[in-house]
Amino acid sequence: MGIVEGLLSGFLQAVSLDVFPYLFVGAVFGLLIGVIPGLSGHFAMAMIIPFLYSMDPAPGIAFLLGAHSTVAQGGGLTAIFFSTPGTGQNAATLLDGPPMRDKGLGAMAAGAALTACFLGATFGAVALALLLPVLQRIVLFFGPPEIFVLALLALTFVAVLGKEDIIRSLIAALAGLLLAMIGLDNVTNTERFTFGWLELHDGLELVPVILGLFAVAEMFELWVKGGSLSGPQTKMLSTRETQKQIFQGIITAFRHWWLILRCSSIGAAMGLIPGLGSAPAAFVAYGHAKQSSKTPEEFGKGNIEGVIGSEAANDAVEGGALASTIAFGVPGSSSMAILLGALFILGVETGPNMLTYHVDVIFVMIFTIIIGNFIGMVGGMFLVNPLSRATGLRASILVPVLLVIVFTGAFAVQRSFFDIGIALLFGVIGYLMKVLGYSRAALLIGFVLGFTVEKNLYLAVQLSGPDFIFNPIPLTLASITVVFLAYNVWTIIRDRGQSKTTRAEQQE
Amino acid sequence: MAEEADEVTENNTTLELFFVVLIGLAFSAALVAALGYAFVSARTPLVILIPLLLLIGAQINRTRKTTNATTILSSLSQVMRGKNRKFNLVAGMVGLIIMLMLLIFVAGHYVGVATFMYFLLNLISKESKLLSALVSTGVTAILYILFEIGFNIELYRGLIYNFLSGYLFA
Repeated sequence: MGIVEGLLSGFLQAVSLDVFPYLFVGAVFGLLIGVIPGLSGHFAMAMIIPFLYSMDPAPGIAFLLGAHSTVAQGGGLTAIFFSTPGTGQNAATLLDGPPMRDKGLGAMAAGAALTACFLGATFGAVALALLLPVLQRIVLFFGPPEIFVLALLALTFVAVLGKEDIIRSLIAALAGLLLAMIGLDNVTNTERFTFGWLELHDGLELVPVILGLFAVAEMFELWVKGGSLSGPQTKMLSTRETQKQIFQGIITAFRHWWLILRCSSIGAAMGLIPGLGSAPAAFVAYGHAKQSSKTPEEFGKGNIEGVIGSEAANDAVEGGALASTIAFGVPGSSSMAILLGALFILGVETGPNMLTYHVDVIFVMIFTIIIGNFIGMVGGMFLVNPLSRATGLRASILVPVLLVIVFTGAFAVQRSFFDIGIALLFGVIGYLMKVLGYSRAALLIGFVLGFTVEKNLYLAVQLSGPDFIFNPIPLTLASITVVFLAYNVWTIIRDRGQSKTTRAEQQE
Repeated sequence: MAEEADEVTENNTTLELFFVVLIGLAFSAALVAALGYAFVSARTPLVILIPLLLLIGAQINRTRKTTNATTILSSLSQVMRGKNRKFNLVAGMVGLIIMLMLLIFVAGHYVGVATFMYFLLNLISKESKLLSALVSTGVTAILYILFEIGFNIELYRGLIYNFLSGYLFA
């Protein structure tokens, strides 16, 4: 399928009556989840996964990505109005959003943030579309040896570049890979790590693992935290004043189109690197916006450029992150790992097959991101006040309701009580990992990549023998992995040595 | 405030020590199991397990250095005496979820989730009876519409329903 044909087909599918309602519901759901502090994009995606089993690829993708694409928009609103980022990726918005609110310009910041998100996401999606012809060529050089080494490289990046400690993240990544080995070995049909459990013959089901790690764990945290989900409530403006400011915010965002373009480029480029994610991209973009501003001294005191820059980069990341997921089946973040899992469930194969024969599916993703963000922008504009009330929900009400939905989802996939148990087990593990600073993203990516790693290692050894690692691309990728890991370990040892010396000097 | 923060850090260190020791034991068992597999099946797990166990060892060592036996014993005694609020809340919730599973198994999905929600809302969270009843029946109805009508997924009816329908099991 050609790119133009795929583009037209993808657009027609995205706006068709079979797909659009799911996209709309997903986008509104994502916006609501984004507004609620403590619930992230992973949560929105995890909640949707159980429904995908009975859906066709296009509506399933639209439902899932629609929800994911608007989470950051909802999170931005909470960051501005309640000084609590709805999701981690909105942390940079906290620097200038709340000061604008304190000046009485909260709705203006919200309008600018929603528009910047939409424009950033559109930029990221267009960048992905433009990358397609390049990816179609590059992917042909990637056989089993290359994919195997690339998966390890991505996993190393995720473990090292995440906000968690490097040893903890590597433990999580390797544990994830090992969890994927549970069940019957595809080559020899040997039972591995099942310890006699019949339910483990087919391995751990992806859905209860995702639900446990990201939904049940969040519920435990909310339950422990208790009380209202947001911080102290601020007085909202009247509906008329809110609408007026929102439109001013939109106009201001369009006036700063050049800033949006630059910050979106930063976001899309950083999205290509596995493990970086939205939050660092937003902070880098914020730094760039401050550096290039005519009024850098006003940053942190309520400068709208700070809000625009960080929110644009925030959403542009998705386009870049989708590229490596689609082309190589190697996800760079937990959201992309969930998406990859969803694509497996929907029967869509990533890699050369998708880039050659299912270009329309890629364009469904691209248009879902654009349309979803547009729905989020319009919805956010008109529903700022009612949406803000969602943050007043008490954890004592929200947790029981969401828990039964999560466990119903875990059960519904295979109608198995065992899966509820798995979701509970991974909920406890996920909660402990969150509390103790172990990377859940690395665990999930390891789990999703485990099958790919083992299959490609087996094929690589069969095709080229054990010295496949000395082929040009695997050797380059493996060298990058080793150098990257060694550099980071050396940095840690150096910093530890320096802090010891400083402490010794202080004691003297 | 500072004392509270210190207590949280101490508890987390003890918790982490237990967590890494536990996963270390689990992965050691996996290593023993892997050694019994054919080479082709054991190759990838062994390649993963060896660095994994080394990293877990390093992490245990690192965590152990930041704490001492007195702190560990004090944190443990706090948990055993029911003085650790976080632990109580999470363990209580895990217990309630296990009860939910049993309830679903016996009384069916809809009765199970409605009872679970009402119990949590009214008896644990002390919400009003009316609100608890409205939320639990409303959410159960939404689940029915969503799963049974919307997505054609039949949820488990329970042992009692199956028994009354003429089936002894399942």
